[in-house]
Amino acid sequence: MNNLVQRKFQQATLKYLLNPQQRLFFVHHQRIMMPSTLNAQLQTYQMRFFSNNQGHNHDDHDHEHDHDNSHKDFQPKKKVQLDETQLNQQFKEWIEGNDVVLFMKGNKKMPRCGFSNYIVSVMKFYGIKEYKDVDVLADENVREGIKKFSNWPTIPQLYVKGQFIGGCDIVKEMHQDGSFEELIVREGIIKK
Amino acid sequence: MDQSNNSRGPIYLAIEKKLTEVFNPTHLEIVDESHKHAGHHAMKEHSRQGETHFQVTVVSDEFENKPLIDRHRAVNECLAEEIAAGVHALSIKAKTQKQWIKQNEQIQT
Repeated sequence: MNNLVQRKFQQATLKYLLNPQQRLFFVHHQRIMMPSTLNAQLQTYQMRFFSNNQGHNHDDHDHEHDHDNSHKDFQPKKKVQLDETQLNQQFKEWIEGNDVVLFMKGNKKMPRCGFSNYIVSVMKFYGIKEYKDVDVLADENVREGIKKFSNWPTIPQLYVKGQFIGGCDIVKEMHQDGSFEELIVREGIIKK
Repeated sequence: MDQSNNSRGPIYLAIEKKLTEVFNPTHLEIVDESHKHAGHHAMKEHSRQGETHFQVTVVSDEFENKPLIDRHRAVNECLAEEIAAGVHALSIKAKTQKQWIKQNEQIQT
């Protein structure tokens, strides 16, 4: 199948065979997924479609009790399972490609958790404007994956120059004893 | 050893026991803050007994010459079972005896 036909086939698949949530997933991830991976994912969904005559995968739907530990509004929106290797690759890209990365609930403009908000406030305090914020509430894979990746059980998680700094308690203590400022000056994040 | 909370549920007691065994602390404070989060979804459904939010202060010589992140990791690993079982938030202060004395001196002055 040549590229043009393949692309048309993919578009048709996206349009007709996948349910809206799955379509959203592919539109969102097309930029970061390799074409081969995308094809593999599409084939999986096509096989599911042809096997049950439904463009649905039950795993993709929000269930009432999927996340007992958070209100429905705050539950991760994406339920499509991503491969752990892909996820870790994505984390590495974010962490290596940005001087500062904050995995948080919500985003820096609108934090959705007091602990995340605290770190955002510390960033503002030191005048750090340019940093990557990753909303873990937007994707269940990211929320659970980053905990494994960092070997750290809670969110938020802060990385500076590829180094894992810690969560809210650590940032708070470092901010109070002056070591956070030392770190960001030493790493060239801010000038003293 | 200080325990600044009167209501001691099973998770509270498990945290107390494990931290005492692992770190042999000179000072241990465990505060169950779950009541402050009573409206949260986690409180209503995730944990029947309602022990979901804790604050722990562990003062131990085990933390000597260990960076902050390693101290916190050690506490997290010690309480991994409780975290998995429904402790929704765990706030940690991990200090050496010297740091603790110094901090208290600063508060007094």
